[in-house]
Amino acid sequence: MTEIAELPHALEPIEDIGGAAQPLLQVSGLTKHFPVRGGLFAPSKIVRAVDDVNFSVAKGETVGIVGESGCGKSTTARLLMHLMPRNGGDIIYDGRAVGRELSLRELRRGMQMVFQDSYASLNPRLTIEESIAFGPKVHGMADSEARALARELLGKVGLRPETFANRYPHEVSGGQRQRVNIARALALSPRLVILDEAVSALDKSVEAQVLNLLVDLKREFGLTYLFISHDLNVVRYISDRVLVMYLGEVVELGPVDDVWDQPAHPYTRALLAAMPSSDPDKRTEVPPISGDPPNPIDPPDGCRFHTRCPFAEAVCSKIKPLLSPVSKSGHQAACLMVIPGSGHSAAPEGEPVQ
Amino acid sequence: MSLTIVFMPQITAFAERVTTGVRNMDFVEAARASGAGPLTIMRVHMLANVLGPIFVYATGLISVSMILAAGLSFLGLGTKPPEPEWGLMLNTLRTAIYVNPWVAALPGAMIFAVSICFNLLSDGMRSAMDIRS
Repeated sequence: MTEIAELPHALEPIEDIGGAAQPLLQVSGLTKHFPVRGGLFAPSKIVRAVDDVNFSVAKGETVGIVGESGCGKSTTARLLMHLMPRNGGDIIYDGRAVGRELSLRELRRGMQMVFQDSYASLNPRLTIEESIAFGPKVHGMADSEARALARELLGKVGLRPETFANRYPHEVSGGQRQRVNIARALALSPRLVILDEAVSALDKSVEAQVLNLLVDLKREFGLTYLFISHDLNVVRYISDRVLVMYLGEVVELGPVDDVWDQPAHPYTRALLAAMPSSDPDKRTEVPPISGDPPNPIDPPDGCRFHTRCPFAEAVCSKIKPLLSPVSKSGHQAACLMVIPGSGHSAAPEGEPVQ
Repeated sequence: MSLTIVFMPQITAFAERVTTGVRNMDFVEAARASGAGPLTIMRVHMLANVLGPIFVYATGLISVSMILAAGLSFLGLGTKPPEPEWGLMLNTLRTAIYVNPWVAALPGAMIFAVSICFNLLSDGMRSAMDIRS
């Protein structure tokens, strides 16, 4: 493998089992409910943070997850990393169900995550080198070897090891810290890296540098990314496919160009319309959607978006739309307007599907 | 000393608060994500980050408890006569203040000096523990 040649100290990445045709990650029915304690006499309630999310990530692709704050993007990331217990659903990594055929320890070799807050995600009392070397040491690498690997990785993310290895996190800038976090994630030779708003906290020029670094690293190490962001331009730039989430559910997914050019779900349309235009004549003056999303403690019946949807009809509050194909390219949307015979006046003609 | 018992719950509560704060930091999540067990995380990531603030807090309490102890024995509620104690001395030497003011004031000056010392020590610890400086 090229990677081993370039990084003599790297851990052997976990084996590719199913070949290229098998998705690297398959998620089905992923659900997370947070119980919220009511008052002394009030009944306890449940926040449906992530509700029945299904998707898959092919090897070598970048899947973007977009959605507004509180729609369950980060919760999804944490569930995938098994940083919190899930209420239901299966996570299948390269054909092996996590927890049954694949141990958590192995999963963590194969899947790593970069957090949004570059400062909070590094231990302030460890030098950069120690932080990066920590993971490999946990997986049984000798201290000197792990440190050597850390220095090699620093070079890979564009930081001179001799300058940065012995610095503490507070001594480097935000962009550099995020590079360190990327190096830390790569230290275990993962095949899937979850980037949870990894570039959102950086300023624009640094953001572009880090994005390009991510693209380079992906090519070099043959990585697969799950890229979570609220920045639509960034998602379009880096992703092959995109997943739009609203209130804990996936409302649209498909190849990024299809979704951008022909958004099928009104929520996606609103999100895209909310992007600031660089043309002053085409300035958006009316907010495409207003108000806050409904409370996930008590999500609306039927389609969860119908309370804010400009096309909502009576039927929308009764029938819950499932993800249905929009085109043959794998573009899917969960909206009654794309489901033939759903009862919505804008729905295409055809037989009602069960 | 009974003051130790009085301050114990305070320190415990403080330690609990600091630990909870550190536990919720992202780097602990990141360590879990790299597959480390709870003991390793406690040793490598938690301990140093928790002990620092606790030491600083505890040294800060020393001067407080010293003054409290002196105050108690000044009122005759603390140490009993054969044991030497500054608050006690201050009380017994009170009557000598017109005869020999220096001697009467000395225990008070000592209490003042030592508690200032512990305060400075706690400040020093704070900056020594702070990795940023």
